[in-house]
Amino acid sequence: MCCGEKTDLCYTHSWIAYRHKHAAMSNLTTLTDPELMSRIVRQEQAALAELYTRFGGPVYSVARHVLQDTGMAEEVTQDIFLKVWQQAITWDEERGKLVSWLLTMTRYTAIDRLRKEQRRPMRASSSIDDLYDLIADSEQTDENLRLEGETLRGLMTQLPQEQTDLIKLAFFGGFSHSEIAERTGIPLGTVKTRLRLGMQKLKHLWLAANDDHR
Amino acid sequence: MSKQNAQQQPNNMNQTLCEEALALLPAYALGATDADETRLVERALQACPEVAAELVEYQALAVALLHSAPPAQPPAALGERILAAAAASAPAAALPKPTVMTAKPAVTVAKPPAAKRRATPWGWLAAAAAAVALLVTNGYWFTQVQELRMQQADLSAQQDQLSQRLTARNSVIERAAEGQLTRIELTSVDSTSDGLPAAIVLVSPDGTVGAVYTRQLPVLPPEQSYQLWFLDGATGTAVSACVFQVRENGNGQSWLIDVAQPLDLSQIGAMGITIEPAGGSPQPTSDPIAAVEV
Repeated sequence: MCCGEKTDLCYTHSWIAYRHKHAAMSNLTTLTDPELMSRIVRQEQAALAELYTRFGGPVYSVARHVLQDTGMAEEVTQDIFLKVWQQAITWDEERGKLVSWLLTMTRYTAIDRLRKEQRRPMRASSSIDDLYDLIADSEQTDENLRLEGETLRGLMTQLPQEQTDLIKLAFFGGFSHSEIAERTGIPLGTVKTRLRLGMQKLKHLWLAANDDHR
Repeated sequence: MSKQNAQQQPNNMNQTLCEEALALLPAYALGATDADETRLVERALQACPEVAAELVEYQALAVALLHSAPPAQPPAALGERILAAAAASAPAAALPKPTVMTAKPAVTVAKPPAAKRRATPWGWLAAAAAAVALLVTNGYWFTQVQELRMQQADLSAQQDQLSQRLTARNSVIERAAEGQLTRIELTSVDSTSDGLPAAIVLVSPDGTVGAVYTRQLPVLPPEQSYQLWFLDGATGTAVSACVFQVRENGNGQSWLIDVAQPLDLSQIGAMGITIEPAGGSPQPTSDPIAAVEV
């Protein structure tokens, strides 16, 4: 099928062969996130492939969870990686972990897509710069963050179902208080109370769980 | 209305704002507040230190929520498609194109023959004036370049400071998420104060990571700063925790940066905020305006 060894087109036809060959050659797998992003700024396609290997799963998972549709989740995942390919220079390692920056962008992009599909009015979206206020997080490893997410999924099962549902609608559905009330038929005051109590309890459980792990 | 009542009214209004915002904070961290509620919380973040302190924990929780989406496996072909789209997109779209200077076409214009000029003293005077002008403009440009260099050095220093603050802020969020920060309230020494804390300090057990949120402190002139001190309970010596200013509304926040000789929380006997010369002092030079025994 494809091409000679060194053209971009060849790379597009043989993702796996390309990745193995070039990742091995340049040892991309051992690069830190900032080093990898500086390669992407220099438009090295092998670096983009490595980035996808590292974070394609988590990005797709968030998009899939927000959109509940595999086709749209794939499109959003593609949008995110292309955005990084073209705007890698906008990531500032001092201001947030790469994985959290990617997942925050994914959540916002997927929610925007969902609003468009559901013909809901768009809300003021955050600029990439504003996202840093939301993602300033720890120096934990990506693996720890993943485990923390897993713990949180377990803790959410300890909340009353009615509270868990509202937290998910708000965070992953992008619904505001009044939109949730309109969509579910639950009185606005009840929505606010359930959301507040649910988050307060979740925070309490989460801090206690972190305390136990220390 | 008595003077005391007049003072109490804004405080009560402020307290109501803070309480309403605290109730909305969990939804705000999720992005679920409606536009008017978002404005209320953002107003309160400027006015209520306890709201700003509480938000740190909810933001950390929201980051963890991002990672809680159930794992899903992307289709095998998606990676290939992304790489193909990247290859097809304009390379280095974000990078500015280099400027290409093109030479103007050479046009020869026939000049009229120069009239024979007579050397006059005015010519010498004009040359001398031109030389002086050249010296003056060279001096001007030299000054400009020096000024730009100084501005560049200032900017670089500002960038370092900003980076240091962001690192400190991230550490606070990390420790808050791990439930490692102890909350300590400092009360104003002014007996006429409303009794609410003048400052809230969040601090890690080793005393190196933390933040201070203050409310309704007077705005200081540029030659003065506020300074937070930790006092060693055993020796009575003071360790500077941070130097900060407050906003026009009297509220402020700062991160503990470069604590020179950190004290364990168990060693700290008291905390206090004093007014010091701009940039801070090695040891307190005035009585605290707010303090607490730990």
